Amino acid sequence: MSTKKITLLSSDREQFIVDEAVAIQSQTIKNLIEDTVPDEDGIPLPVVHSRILAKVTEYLTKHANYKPHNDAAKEELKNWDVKFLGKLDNNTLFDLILAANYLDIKGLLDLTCQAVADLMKGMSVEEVRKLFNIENDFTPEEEEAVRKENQWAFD
Amino acid sequence: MEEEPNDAQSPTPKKRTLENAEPPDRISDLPDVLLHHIFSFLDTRYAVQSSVLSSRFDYLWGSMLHLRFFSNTTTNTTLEKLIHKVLILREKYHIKSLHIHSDNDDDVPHVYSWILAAIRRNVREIDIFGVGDNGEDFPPLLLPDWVELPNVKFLQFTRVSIDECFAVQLIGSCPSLETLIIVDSELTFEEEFEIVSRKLVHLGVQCRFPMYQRDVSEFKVRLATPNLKVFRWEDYMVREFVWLEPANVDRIEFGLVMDEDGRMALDSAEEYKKMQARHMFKLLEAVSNVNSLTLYGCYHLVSFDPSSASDYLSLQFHSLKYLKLETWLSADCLLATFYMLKICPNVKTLSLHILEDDCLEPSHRCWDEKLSPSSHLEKCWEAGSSKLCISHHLKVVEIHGVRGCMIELMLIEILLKGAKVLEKVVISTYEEKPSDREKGLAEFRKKLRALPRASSTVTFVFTEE
Repeated sequence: MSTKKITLLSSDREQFIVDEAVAIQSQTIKNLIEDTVPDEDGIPLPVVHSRILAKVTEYLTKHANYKPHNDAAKEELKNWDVKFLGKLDNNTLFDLILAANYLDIKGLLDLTCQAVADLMKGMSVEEVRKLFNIENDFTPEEEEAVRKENQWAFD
Repeated sequence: MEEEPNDAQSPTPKKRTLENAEPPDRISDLPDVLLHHIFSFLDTRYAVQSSVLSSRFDYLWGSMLHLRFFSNTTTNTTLEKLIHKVLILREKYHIKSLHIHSDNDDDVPHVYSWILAAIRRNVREIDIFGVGDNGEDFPPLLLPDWVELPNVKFLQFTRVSIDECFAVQLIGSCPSLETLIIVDSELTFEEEFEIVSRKLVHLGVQCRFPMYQRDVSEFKVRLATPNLKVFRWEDYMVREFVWLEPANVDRIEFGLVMDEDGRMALDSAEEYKKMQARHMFKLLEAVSNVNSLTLYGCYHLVSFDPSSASDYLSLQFHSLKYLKLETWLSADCLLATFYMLKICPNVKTLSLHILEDDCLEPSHRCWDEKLSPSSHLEKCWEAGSSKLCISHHLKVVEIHGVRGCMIELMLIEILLKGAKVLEKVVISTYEEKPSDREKGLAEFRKKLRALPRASSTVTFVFTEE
């Protein structure tokens, strides 16, 4: 396995040094390594803050050692993912979704989007609004109309 | 999301008094594609309900490309009505994936129209899960003759009934098909049939016979699948596989399907076992360059019939790195385990899954025997210690379903003696353990740690299933 190191540079210009095998799980980083001459400080990721990049590299480092045919490792990894998610507040969760999307890391994007979906499961409309602080910008008449239109999904 | 209580529908929306102290609304800022991704993990019914959240979410679901439907007994809108409505209201958009999870036989007649509607919208993935009210009553599937599915890459059917015509026609009409998975389903086949699929990468079949088809004869399956990497086939091992083109499969999972309570589904008459052994060898011979091999409840057949085994003594798996075996704790099974290790000299990970013992013949029960080894145990011990070639590659051994009996200890002892570079032994104990067994397990662990070992770096990990 290659032990070549890659330096990633966050939006606040903090350096993260990781193994190449860890970094290239991000399709975006992989493309950047292949297609561009790196900044001497590292590969710049201008939309990812160091606070989030730390989380992303934590995830990538863990998942780089994933052995697809090993049941025990699969189980351990799943438990690790659950713990990883458990430590995140909602704000960080959304930052991670955006970062995973930008960096093109399918596993992390699925994990974080699934986590948001799980938060919403079984909740009423009002509860979801409260959970994510969504402002209801409908007038009561509008809301009633939208509800009527979609009543078949509520019945 | 459910219908909110009336008091939440107060005529005036709540005014925010502490605007700045509120955490920001992050979800509404996400681009549509990410909101769709989040909703793709939920029942599409919820995605429709979310229209009421705010104008940001109104009709957002209409352009979702991944649809997922579950029958829900607490609602009045049936699955059929729901899917119909969704498909009509988002008429102009393509569908990338359609997942339908039904537990109602009444849905069966509609499955075709849903599939057809999805096909007309360029679907790539179809996943149908159907269960009759009565577990054995699998709904049958049929397709009209003219269907063409040029974009379908992924097909999964769970708990449905599929006949040969349907399967062959389906595979034939999906030239781009990469994954075909049929799980826990009834598959009725003619004596011979062909799977011709140039792009197929993953073929997974786990099937049972319909009740009326129990008296089976031999079947032949011809495979023309040059790009197949993963081949999984669990049934009654009555099928002989003929590879029309060289198989470069990476991963094989093969063996006997168990009944829902984990028992062998067919009686094991001798001529039956001979046929099964022959089919297994034939398959293994054709795919001896795999990296990963899993055998479900069948590999002990190697020692059932020494005459057929001798025909295949040349069988060797040099590229195999991962070996998973489902096994009983019989002497035959352990002999077969050592035999497998011998013909797979480069295996790095060995995973053993010990099966329920109820279906064994009484003479095969070994764990009642206390410390005095029976002839079975002795036979097994001798074979194990004398025939096991010293392994220079085995690093990880996982044993699942350990009960803490003598024969398990012996198995581990033999492995520890032979494996020179072993790093980790994972012992996962059987979930139902009566309290009197607790002490036995503690004793088992103590004995385990005292065993001599060839590798100096072994660590034991104990878990519970």
